Amino acid sequence: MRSQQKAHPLCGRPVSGIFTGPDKYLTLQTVTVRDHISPVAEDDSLFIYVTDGTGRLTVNGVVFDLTPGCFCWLQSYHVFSLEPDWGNALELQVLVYDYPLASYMTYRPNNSVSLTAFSAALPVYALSGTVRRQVEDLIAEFRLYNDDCGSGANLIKSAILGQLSYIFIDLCNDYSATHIHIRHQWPLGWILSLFIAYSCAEDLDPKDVAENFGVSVPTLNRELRITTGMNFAQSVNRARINLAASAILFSELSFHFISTYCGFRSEVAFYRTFRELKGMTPQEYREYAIATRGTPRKMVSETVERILYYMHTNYREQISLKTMAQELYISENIIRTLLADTLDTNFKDLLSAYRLRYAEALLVVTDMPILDVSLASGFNSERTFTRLFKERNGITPSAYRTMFIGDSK
Amino acid sequence: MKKRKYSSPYYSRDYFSKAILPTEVYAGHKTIRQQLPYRQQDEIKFMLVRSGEGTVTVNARSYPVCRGSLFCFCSSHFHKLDMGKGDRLEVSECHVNSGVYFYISASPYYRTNTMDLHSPPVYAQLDEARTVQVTELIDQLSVLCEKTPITENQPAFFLLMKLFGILEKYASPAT
Repeated sequence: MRSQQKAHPLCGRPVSGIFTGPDKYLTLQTVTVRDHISPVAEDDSLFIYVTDGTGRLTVNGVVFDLTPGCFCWLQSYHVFSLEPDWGNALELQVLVYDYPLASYMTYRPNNSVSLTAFSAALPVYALSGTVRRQVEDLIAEFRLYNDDCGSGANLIKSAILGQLSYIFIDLCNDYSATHIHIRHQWPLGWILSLFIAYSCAEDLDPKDVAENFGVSVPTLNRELRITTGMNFAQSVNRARINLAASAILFSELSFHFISTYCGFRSEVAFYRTFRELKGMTPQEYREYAIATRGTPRKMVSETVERILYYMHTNYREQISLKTMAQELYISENIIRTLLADTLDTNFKDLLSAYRLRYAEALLVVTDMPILDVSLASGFNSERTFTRLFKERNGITPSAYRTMFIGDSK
Repeated sequence: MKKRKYSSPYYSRDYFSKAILPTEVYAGHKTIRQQLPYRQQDEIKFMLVRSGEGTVTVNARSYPVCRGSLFCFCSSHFHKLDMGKGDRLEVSECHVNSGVYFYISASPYYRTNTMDLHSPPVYAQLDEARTVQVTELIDQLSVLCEKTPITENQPAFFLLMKLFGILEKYASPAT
């Protein structure tokens, strides 16, 4: 069995906000490192691609050589420092892949192989050949939209980040498949940081964790301090607050739920810890994160999406608020409230809008009688259809058809 | 110690792995040699004109098209193609289930009010570089959906997201 690596100790207390922050989301940063950068512990994940220069990257006590073509994906549980070689400068392309976006993009639960591979593999890979070209092309494509904060550009940039993450996970899978014993070589502090990041929502007791890793509690704290600058309690709290910061963006989630979901024993403890680490209360953070200009990161409720999707696929059927509520297992009141709060509409208006739009199309592209159009669009009667149609378009269905008939034939 | 469970930010939500993601993706190229009657489909359909000139009629409104014309049709868009003076129209098409549309519009960096289910179709006239890019995207989607089982096809989602993004960015203001 191979021996465990000795951790490279930290020099200095880790700081955050160097590469991440509200103004840096979906933005490509070109960074030149001329001098040693003291330990950094960011609250979001980030991709770093080395375009020029050589140096070293120390991650949780493990030193990696950096050369042009090195591709890194650093996480919130990584405390890292950068150092260029003597007389050299490191040219880096940095992209923040924030956790709300990462969680959204990883819509399918990672299978256990990928997750294990990802957690055990390296945070840095020296790329060559096709993969290197792919990464460089994606970064170049991202640069094209770098100054554009419009919705379309944001979608394109988000997709590029997803593609980069996918390339990185592939690299991790390949590496893990060929280096199956590597995890036994990592320093204890490295393994502990990973364990805390992936288990922070559980009721973690330092004694249990120390026993699980075959060490004493003081050793556990010492190893964590050497690699991350934080003891066990600080590491767990930081991981939980990072998890909470993502969950807070779902405005429909209550703080009580979030505190329990993130592993806090009480809401009071959650509020106190959140304020200590983020400098503001959870409510202030929610308002700040959603209102930040250029990065409207409010997460749309899954329930709203389910309602819209159901409506979109069934609007031509005889559906009602009651049947929708029954089929989606959501109460009628919740549907009413969500539609009013998020879309400023109600069930009937939304359903009518869908049906009328379809009916408008049928009127101009078919010869179907008005009664058939109304039934095919989901209306119960021609009278209701005509009334709603006139309310929306200001003219009757027959007049609407006459207006377009010349073009449709 | 209790049994470990993954509770980190990397663990995603189960709900979306069911109906709402790219489960029915079709992508490919077609050559149209004769006028086609009105068609309509329940899913979302992207159509890019790769070469030729003609007219696309959507719900009785006509749009002159040439290389680089990109459309997005949904279930209320009845559309037909007319080659006009040319003898053929080459188009690339991509069909996806409407759940993808809703999921993409829920992106944290997307303002949901801008991607509406428009009465007129969303339409963009792309420049040459974007036309090549969209053609390549549809080619890649076509390959991915042939080779990879749909349940494993997360890269297809990234490509679809890019396609939506390009359409949104370059959409004609008239739509």
